[in-house]
Amino acid sequence: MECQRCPASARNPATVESRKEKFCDECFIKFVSTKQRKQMMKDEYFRNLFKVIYPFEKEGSVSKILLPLSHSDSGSLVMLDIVHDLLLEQTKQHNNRTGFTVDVLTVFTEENVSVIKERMESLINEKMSQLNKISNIFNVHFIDVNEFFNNASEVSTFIIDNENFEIFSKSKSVDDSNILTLKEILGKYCLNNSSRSDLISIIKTQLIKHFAYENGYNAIMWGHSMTKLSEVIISLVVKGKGSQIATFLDSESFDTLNNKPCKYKNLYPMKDLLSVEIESFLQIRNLAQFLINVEETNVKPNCLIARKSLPSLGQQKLVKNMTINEITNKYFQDIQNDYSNIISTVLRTADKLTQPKSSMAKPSQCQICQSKIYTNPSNWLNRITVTSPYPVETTEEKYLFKQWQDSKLGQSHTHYVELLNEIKQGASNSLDVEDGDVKLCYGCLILLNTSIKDKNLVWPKVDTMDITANATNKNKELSQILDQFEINSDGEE
Amino acid sequence: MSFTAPSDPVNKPTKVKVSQLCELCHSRKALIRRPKNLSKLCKQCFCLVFETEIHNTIVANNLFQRGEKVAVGASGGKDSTVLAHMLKLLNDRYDYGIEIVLLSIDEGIIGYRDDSLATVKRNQQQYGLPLEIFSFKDLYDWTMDEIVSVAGIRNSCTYCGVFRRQSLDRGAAKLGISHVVTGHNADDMAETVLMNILRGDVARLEKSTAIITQSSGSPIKRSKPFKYSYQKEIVLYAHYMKLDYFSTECTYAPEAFRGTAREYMKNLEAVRPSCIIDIIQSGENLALKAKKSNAGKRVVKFVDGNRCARCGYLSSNNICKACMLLEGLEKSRAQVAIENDTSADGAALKLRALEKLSF
Repeated sequence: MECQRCPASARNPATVESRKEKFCDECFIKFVSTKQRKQMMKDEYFRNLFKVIYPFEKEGSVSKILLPLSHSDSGSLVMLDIVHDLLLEQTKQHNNRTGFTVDVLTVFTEENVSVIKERMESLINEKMSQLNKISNIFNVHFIDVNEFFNNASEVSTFIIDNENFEIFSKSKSVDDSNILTLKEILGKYCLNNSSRSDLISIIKTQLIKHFAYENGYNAIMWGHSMTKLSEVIISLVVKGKGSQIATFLDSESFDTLNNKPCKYKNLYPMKDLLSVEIESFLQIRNLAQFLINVEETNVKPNCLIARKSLPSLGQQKLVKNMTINEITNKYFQDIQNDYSNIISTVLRTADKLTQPKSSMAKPSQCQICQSKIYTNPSNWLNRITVTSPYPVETTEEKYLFKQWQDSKLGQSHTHYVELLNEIKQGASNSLDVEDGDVKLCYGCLILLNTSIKDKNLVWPKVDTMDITANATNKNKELSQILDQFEINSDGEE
Repeated sequence: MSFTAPSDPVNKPTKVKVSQLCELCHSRKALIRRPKNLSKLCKQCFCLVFETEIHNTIVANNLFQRGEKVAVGASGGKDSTVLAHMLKLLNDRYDYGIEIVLLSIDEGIIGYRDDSLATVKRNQQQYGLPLEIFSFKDLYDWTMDEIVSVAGIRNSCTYCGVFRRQSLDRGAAKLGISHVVTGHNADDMAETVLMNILRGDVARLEKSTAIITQSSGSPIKRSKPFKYSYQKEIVLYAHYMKLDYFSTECTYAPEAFRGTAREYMKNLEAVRPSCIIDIIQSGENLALKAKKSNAGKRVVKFVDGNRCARCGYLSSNNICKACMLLEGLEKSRAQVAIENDTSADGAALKLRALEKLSF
């Protein structure tokens, strides 16, 4: 077996097979890099962002790019590696100048903080130090996931009315006695893995976008592969958030936060690459050492020829413990043999979607996931669901009803009704709330209605949030890495 | 010496625990776990909720007009049987003022369709509704068994689907009815939305969740009152009401790709029980980007209400799909037919039996 892309006079043995084509290591790396670079140069805005522009303008006109890096995700790590090679190439060709600088942002939790410290330290030494000796091209930032709760000065308690799915909320200020934490939210309110995964994803995305908004970045580069994007698209459809697909994939418009226009766009450079190709790139370039879950990564499917004969030993999860993204991923893997172009078809179809026409009287935004709301979910759901009971008739039924009222179930329901009435009262008294104000999108309404305990959730008000002040100073251990990093850079200069 | 008989354990009344009570009325033992939101309901609450939800769907979408004549596409299966029962029940209860007719299509599959049509005839007696049966033989001069013997078993679903879809319109037109009601449920709608995305069927994406489909080229409109009703709930309702329906699968193989989407949705329901309704909500909010017009190039637009040049029914092309399929079949028909030849009858059953043989 020979590489089909090498010149005919000097064919190397093939090590990778993808899209019915055989590659050697070098040609495959070039193939993957070219795909990503093509996406980075896909229109005028991004060309001006990434290229070195002549003549040189005054200092400070170099583009600032935010690269969210997850140490449990191969895509963002591979993207960083390719960006590093691109920057290295630019410094060699343009007399140590680059078209852009990269800020690497990592969101950590208290469970994985020590592993992230170790991995990021080795990543800095191996990948970033060389370029930062020339000029400060890479910056590294860390955000504790609990900053999402610490930086908000107000929180809202949302509750769903059992009978008509109407959403009520009550606000209150944050003081030291009632600061929320991620662990508390997930442990106290979430009933299953799917809702936990949903909330974590919402929190991380919003932290990243707020960081980009506050610090004036020109673009966010997400490490989503084609497979990952298709998973997210199908998951949005399944969660009732199909209207958000167009906004999620949009690389042409500037993003918005809390109805405020941002100065950055969202870019998906790995849009044309399958996840098996990214995993292969990861193994060839020996990048798995920087991931938290190294053993898990080495078992993931890829298209390396030497690995194809080995059987996959992945453990099978129970369906009930899976999240929606995991079920979708398993579905794609199952049908990949028979219907091989499903993933690209899903992405191509989603690219043709736009935002639906809104039937709302005034623009509304979901208070949890911050997405735009196009239809009133309470009215829609109330129209198709009946929650009134058949009337109580016989004496035995009345006796059972009385027995239920006295039991724990009845008391729990009573507590829910009391909380609902309390919040209803607070909402009607408050002058802030206007009639017809919709607070949640359909997907989040269903999340509260089916996967959150007692249909109520405490959530920070995002418009009262300030990320900048505490972004890199909260955790002492991680800021030591940054100090070490900066000291080395200063020393070299 | 007196004798005391032992207590009878079979007839001893069992005490109902509080956790077993219905979540709506809290006064009866819950018998089912509602698939839509996993709430535990008793029989009375479930039937009332199910019926009222369908009534709300009908009223909110203005499906029926007073005095209208409505044809129910009746196949004898659970969906159409429950639909016929439900429409009669709600028409009597809420006085829609519609006239209901059962409309059946006989595809001509011996061993399958004749049994299901017997079920429809029993439904006719039970509900007191008029029944009209049209057959492929009458409309197209071909039965499905004959088509299978000519075209083979693999493509039979294509022929049957195309002919059956047009047959309902033809049958309704002959009866002077302008409204056909089908038993498509929420599972079917969600499946369609997912498959249109997975297969890239962009043209159908926006309209895949419409509850009424109508075209200016045809006087017949179709509606789906069960759009928001889960299939499991339809089966449960039929069970509690002791409805008589035919449940054997068609003797031809189901479509493979649709099966994968169905299995995917089953897994999703274990994690998120409302996923079917959620998919429908997503489907209603999918909108396509406006196509950019190419200057100079003539853009072929989809023309609503286009008719077939031969039979006059709805068609996207000049000749409709049914006429094209018929043309292909006619070329394979024997010039001289043996009188009283019954070799084609039950071809489906015979082929299915042959496939299972092993030597």
